[in-house]
Amino acid sequence: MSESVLNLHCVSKIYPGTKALQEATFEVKKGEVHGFLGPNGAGKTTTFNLISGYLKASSGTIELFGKEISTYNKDLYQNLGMLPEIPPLYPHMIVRDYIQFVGDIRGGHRHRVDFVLEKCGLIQVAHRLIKNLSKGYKQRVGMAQALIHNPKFLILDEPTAGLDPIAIMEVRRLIEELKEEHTILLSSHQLHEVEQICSHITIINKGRIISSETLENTKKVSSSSHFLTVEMTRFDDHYLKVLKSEFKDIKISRKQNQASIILEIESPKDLRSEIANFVLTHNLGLLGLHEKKPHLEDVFGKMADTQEVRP
Amino acid sequence: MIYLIKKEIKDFFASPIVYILGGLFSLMMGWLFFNYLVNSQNLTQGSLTQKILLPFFGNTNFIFLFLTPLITMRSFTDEKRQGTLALLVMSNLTDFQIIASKIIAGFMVCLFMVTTTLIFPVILAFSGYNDWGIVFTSYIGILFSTFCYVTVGVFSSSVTENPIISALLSFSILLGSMLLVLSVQAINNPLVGEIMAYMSVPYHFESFLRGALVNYHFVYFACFISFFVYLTYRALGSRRWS
Repeated sequence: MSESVLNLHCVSKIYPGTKALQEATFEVKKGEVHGFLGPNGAGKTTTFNLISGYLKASSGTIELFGKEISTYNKDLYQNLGMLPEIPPLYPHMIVRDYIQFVGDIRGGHRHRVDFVLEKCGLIQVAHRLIKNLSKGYKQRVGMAQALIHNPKFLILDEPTAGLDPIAIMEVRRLIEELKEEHTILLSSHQLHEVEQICSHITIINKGRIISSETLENTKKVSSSSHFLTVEMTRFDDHYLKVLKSEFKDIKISRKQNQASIILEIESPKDLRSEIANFVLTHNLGLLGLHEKKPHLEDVFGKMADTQEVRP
Repeated sequence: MIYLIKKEIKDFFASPIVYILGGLFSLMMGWLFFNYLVNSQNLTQGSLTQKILLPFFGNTNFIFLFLTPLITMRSFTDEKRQGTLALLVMSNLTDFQIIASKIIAGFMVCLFMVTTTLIFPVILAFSGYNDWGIVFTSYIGILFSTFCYVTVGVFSSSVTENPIISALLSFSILLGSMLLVLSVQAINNPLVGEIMAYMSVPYHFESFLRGALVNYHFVYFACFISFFVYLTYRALGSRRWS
């Protein structure tokens, strides 16, 4: 069983009039790239601020590397690097000076400056003022400050938010490289990106953890239905009635194209073989039949919708 | 901690505000000194100390009451707005070290300004002035008062994200402290009057202008500084109040 890097147990954070986080429980294990998903205002940043020790939980326990962080313990944070949603940058500093400064206050990591600048692709802008950098480069500088002390655990709060597609690809490539050596907890609105990078997903909505599972289990748990798309050359109301009478528990939606008809069928069990037989038996001109796998967007939308309103 | 102090001082001197305030301060000091010097030619009684240096140092202290809120107003407000406070909090620095770094850096800027006034006693020395004891104690008094003002400024910046509000708050606290001395005259009760006078910074500063280094004034300054450092510490820690 792999070692636990982060363990939240019944953690709540109450601001006056708002329960920002309600009894959140989840675990991040060593070597995982753990996605932390939720809509705006769900409690993601609050959770990260609690983990980083910037805020204190109203109740519950947070363990980092097996040690509780309720009493503020600086040593624990030696192995934690954090990139907040807005990178913590001093705009009037030069990139190299800034990274050196962070290395110094993190406890003498000046020797890693060149390595980190190279790793984050900042060598060519190392002597420029941070305020003159593009948003993509600022994000990389933020990433460099999180890496300067070589932490075992990285928290990245929406690292690709607001970036152009090329910058997103570069940041994603960097995360791919980092996951070889670091355990990563990552929040993002780019669900397809999370799907590509993360092995585990925790979904939070309105301050409550809805699910914390492997990516595959998250998809399975949330989607008990099977979705089939069937494309045919001919299909009319008569066949629709026959189809419905033969398969009682299915939901059908029909789309008419210029040269074909597409049926989208939702059923409680896998009916690929039966539907194919039906189409062939009635000679409906089968053009295609495939199962639609649930995407994280569908799962996330479904889970977020089912939650009650936060008090 | 030294890295943060160095960075803070570098930030101060990279910003135009220090040069604008420094220039303004030197101009005002030069103008005041010149006036006191010219007026002293018409007076037949009183020494150079009484007619030039004492009012000059008194005004220096008064001007710092207005300048320090402007110097320190960005100490924590910028950190909060840029999100860099979390960076400092997660570093190896303790909250106390962060506060101390901000205060020391702000004080160094004030010290830089104070050093520009050293030219004026030197000018008097050319005319034969040699009462260096008063000059020395006056500078000690200015430095202690300024340190107090800086701690108030840093405290004010720790309770808000807006530098203007920070400057106004610290200015209000400092002006309030100064007005305590004036209120003493309106109070008939001598005990209350004495207590109120003791609580104000200028009351203690005046003792230094007379050349007296009395231990209870140092105790007062130490208590004043410790009190506002404690308040800043609590204000900074308030984010973790559950």
